[in-house]
Amino acid sequence: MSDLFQEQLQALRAQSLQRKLREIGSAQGSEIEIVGRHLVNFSSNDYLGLAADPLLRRAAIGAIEKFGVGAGASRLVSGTQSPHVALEAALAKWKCVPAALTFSSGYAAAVGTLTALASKRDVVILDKLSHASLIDGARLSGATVRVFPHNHLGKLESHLEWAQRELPEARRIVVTESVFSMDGDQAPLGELIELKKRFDAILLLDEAHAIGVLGPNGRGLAAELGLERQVDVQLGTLSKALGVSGGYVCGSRSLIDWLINRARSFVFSTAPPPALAAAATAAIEFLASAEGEARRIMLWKRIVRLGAELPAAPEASGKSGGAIIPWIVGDEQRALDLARSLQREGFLVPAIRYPTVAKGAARLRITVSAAHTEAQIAQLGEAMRRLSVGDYGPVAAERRSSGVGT
Amino acid sequence: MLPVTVFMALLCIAASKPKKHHYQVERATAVTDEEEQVSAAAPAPAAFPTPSGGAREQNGAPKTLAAAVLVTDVRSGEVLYEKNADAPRAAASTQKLLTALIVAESGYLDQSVTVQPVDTFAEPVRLNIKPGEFYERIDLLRALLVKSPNDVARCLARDNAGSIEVFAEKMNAKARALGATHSHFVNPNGLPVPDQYSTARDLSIIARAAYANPTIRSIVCLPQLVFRYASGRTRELQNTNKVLKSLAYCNGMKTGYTEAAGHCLIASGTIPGRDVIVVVLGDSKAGVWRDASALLSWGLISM
Repeated sequence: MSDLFQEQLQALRAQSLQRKLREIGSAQGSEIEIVGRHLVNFSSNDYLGLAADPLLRRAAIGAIEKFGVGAGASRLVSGTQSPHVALEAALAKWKCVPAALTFSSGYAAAVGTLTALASKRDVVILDKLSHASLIDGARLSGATVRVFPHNHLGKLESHLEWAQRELPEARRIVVTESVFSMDGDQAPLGELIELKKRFDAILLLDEAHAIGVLGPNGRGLAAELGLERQVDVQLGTLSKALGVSGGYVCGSRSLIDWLINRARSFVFSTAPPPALAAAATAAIEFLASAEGEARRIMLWKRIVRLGAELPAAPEASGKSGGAIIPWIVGDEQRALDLARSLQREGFLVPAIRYPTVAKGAARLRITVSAAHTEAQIAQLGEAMRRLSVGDYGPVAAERRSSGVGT
Repeated sequence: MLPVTVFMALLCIAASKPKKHHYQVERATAVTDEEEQVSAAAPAPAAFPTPSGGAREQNGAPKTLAAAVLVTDVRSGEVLYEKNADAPRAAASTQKLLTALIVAESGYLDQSVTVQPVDTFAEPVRLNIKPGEFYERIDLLRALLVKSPNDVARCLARDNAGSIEVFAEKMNAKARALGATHSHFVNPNGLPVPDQYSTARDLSIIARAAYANPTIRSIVCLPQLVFRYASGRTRELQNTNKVLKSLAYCNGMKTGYTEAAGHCLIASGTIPGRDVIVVVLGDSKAGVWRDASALLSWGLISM
């Protein structure tokens, strides 16, 4: 048996596809420590630098003093403590929705929600670049799953037409993200909403990478476009810009009540530690404040600065719609080499490869944080200009659209 | 970010306190060898890279080879940088923003237009819509702003005003009403004709009005668009604005090119609390993207 894995691992290594864990010996921040070396961190989703913020630390410590560490039971049994209730109230208020529910992770939120919304009689239609958790949730629901090419409204429309014609009784659920995790681009939300209305479908929008980045007070893409009320199920995460851990769903009271009863990842998980809920509440209150808006403006200034630093070859680059800037290299080994060179120079910029993205669409994924200094960004820009000469060809865009191997 | 003046003041304070310097030097020597190499290889953090190898104007704006430039803060109307902004120049397809503005403000965008033979008498780029076909105005408007087809511009203009000539009068009246008084428009698409001109400043005024129109705002930001012909055939149109596709904070506007006008781009950008419009006229093919990107980035974070 172990030999079998050896063989498989060898195959991965041969294709430059084996992945490994690395130990970070410090708190999250613009600089982190890996095996004793300090690296400027361009790899985290901690877009606002909240993960190690004193405000969140204090909230968590205060909750630990009062509530201890473990929640002791699942939410439905006796694990729903005051910080959980406060967090869901804060979420609903911040997102301007009737109700919210939190999960132990974004993955659990996606899988739990989709399996509760769809049954084998239903149809789930996903954008091809949707996060693995959304794809897994759709599959696990037993529904008929259809996939449309990334942001391709025409194909989505024909899937909806098909579903309406062939399975008129089925619930039609359209699933997409507002900012895509590996390409950093945005969904055409206005057009998606037009379509979902026309076909009487439910729209589930995962705002994981837009929360804290886009929209007034970081409420996401739907809020930025004033379309919040037209998104049926707003999925998001506490783990990225909010700096803590967990996932959430926002929507109608009846949606949330149904999830409390039927989302298995919610029902069958021990409640998250109350201290995390308290820290997440502090993060949301921060985002809703003037200081939070100032931090978000700082993030955007850093994004602009990096945009100005990176070599100009716009036709070949990916469109970024937030703090994620994809630097598409194509070849897996070349992406790894570039990432290693950057690491030697003191920058942590991860190479993203198959199966996270399509084969031949390997890339560096640069994420910007409000915690970065201008100097750190200027230094990365200088290193990228020097190291990546000859990369970044137009072929990258073509390969990119060949789809994701999830 | 600190205002420049405050930043300068802080620098002065730092310079007058040698102890502070000592502290910084000590800290620098405390880092590892590898980190020192990083800082040795890195540029000074204040050096904002520019298309022309770091060259910049007096106020810090990146220097470009474009014939005319204007960078405006949309909310205040403040001009952040200008170069030959009042020189009369051919605007090429950037003037389609004015065409679009008139069409959008005329309303009834969900109503149908029938294509007339006269609409199709246009130079490339064309969408090749055929006489007798019906299209919703909004679909034509989307195609106009994303792909810049000249037949679509003619069709929308004729539909709006009855003829190209009357539409051109509407364009001139609208421009004057907005305060863009140093322009003269003859056609809706910007194809070269005698006595048709505008200026970077006038185009910026027009672009600001277009930017304030929600319909136009929601179209110019589309990286691509699926156009459905009357026959049912679909065609994917890629936005001609390459800056839109590369910078997260670019949210649209309009490209233009003719031999006389050179390569032109009006690009808008936004970060929370700030919107900027950049007009670049008479640039080179490669330079226009580079220059507009640099000016947009600079405009959004300059104080």
